[in-house]
Amino acid sequence: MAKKSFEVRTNYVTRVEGHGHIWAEVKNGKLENCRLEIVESPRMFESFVRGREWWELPWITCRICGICSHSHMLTSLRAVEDALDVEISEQTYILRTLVDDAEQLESHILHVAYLVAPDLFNAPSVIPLAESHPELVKAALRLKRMANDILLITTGHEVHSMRMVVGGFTMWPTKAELEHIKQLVDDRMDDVMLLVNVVAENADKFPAFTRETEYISLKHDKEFPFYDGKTCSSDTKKTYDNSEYQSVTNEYVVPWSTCKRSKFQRKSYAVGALARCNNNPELITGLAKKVADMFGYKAPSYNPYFNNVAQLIEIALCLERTKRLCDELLKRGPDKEPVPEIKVKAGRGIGITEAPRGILMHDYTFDKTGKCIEANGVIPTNQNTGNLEDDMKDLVPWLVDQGKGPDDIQFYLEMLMRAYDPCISCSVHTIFL
Amino acid sequence: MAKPKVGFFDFSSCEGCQLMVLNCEPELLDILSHIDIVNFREATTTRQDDYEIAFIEGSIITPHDIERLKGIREKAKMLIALGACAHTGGLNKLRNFQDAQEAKEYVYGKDAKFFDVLPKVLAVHEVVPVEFSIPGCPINRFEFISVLKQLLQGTTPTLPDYPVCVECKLNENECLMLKGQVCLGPITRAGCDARCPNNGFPCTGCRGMLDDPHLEAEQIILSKLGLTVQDLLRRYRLFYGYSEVVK
Repeated sequence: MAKKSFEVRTNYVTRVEGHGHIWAEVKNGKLENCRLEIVESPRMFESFVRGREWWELPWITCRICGICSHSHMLTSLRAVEDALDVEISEQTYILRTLVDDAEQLESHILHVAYLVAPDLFNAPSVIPLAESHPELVKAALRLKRMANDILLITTGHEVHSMRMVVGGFTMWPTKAELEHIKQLVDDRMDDVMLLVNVVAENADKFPAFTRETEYISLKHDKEFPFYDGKTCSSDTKKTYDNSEYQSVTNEYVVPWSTCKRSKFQRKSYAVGALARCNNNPELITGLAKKVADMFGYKAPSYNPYFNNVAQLIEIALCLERTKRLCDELLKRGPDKEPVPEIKVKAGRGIGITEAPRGILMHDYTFDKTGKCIEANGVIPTNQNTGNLEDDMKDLVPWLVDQGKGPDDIQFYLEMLMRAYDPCISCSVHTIFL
Repeated sequence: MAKPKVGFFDFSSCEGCQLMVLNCEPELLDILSHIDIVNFREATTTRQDDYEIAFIEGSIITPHDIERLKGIREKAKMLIALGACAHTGGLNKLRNFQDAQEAKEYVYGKDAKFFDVLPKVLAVHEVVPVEFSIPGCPINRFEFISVLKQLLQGTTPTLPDYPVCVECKLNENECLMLKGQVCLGPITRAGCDARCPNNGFPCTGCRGMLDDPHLEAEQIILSKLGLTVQDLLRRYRLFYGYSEVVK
């Protein structure tokens, strides 16, 4: 067979959040070049939050990203509270965990049903699926509305919360609202199984491609970690204190690169749903375990396309936990705890949580009047960029060996980028090529 | 009758306003039966350039943004700014109160040279003419649906010309200013149903100032709460960065 030469290029990859291009060049059957280019315009949040007051930081930084707004806000709250030594109540901890679960639900449902599912049916978007697979689309719309309703009830809005403030919540959900959330979840169980089944029936569309890599996520001994946990590496099997985060993320720039990247034990690492599942397999129980078994998922999985499967596992996990957390809050009233008075002081604080797309760090320093003087953010998509490009570099030869041509390679490269669920407008460190 | 072709285009923003469009779950299929979405990168691989209505999200930050926006303007019959970043520049304009070069170097260090950013962040109407703007950070999805309906019916949408306080009173909220909180509701354009005060958080002005705001009255009330002129400017700059008042 003649060795093929071709080039694959997609400008502005669609059905991802933010702006990015992919490029691969094959000469005589060998991969010569392969790149992921990020072309998002820089907004420079880290610069313009300087001079702002401590209470404004969550309000401003949640606006880094509309899709993971609640994750940015939760991370920011943790960072401010760490800096000002604010202790939160158990009830605040529970409600924030509930908000974080709803955030994961909303984002994962949007991603799997609207952005990934079209690839499984060779459709350009979810719109034609409304004709060809109306039940799937209607179930997805109802599921997404459920997650949005939970966010509306608990935080005040679907995108950019009002109720979450430093120290607690401005308002608490009522008993009736918590019962309503439980009912919403019960009502949507059939829909979630429909979504899981459709993806499971088409699981053969995910390429059986694997590449061993390092996974970084939070780890927790009791609860599957989104809001709380310690940074953990799958390679070292160790956990790290928040104060050590920069020794894990090691952000760097390569001369030809498009984006600040991260590396720890290897030349790149992965974050996100698959990293969380791979690092916390003992916490995948109940319905989530059932979903994992349907796809034959066993930790660790080194197939990057399985990030979508991990998202389905987490959807099941969040649904079950949401009901349990509602019960916990109902047991406590919920008590209408007022927001505690905050004493301003100078200091540095670090907040780390899991955004839907992976581990997220905010790091602020305040002066004695409570004005921000230094700010840094490490964003999941930045951490994933190097790993995604390393996957691309292995995937192309793997596909070429199977005799795949440029059209297939382009399709699977775009699908790979989508599997990572990149959130490019989040990646505040991006750099133009 | 053929459905009007609509495109959604994102510039520098959090993409939360596009998400609010996708968050119209109960109405989405109905909306799609009245319009043909031909360009919506975040949601579809389909890309056509023959749209009649273009919704623009985000601020204009780079020279390339200007060229891209002008290209869209040439093709669209109607160009609608979607959300605060497009409408006024939103909180992206916080950067306009810093030195652009220093800001770049703070975030990107020695790699700052890779960036070609405009000296000032711009709203969409500062680059091309805009037929209408939907305010808010993020938009109110019910207002989006209402504006879209009016555009499809050929009528001209309008924005409320009264302050957030009107909606806040109708919702029977306790006034946050009476509780000593700094609220920009009295000088900010309504249309959000006072969603922040409804949830116990003061208005930060994301929908922009009224055409004729009672600035002096607001300043008198806020100075009684102990705010200095500098404090006041900082509050106003969050979302009124476009206004002469804060310069």
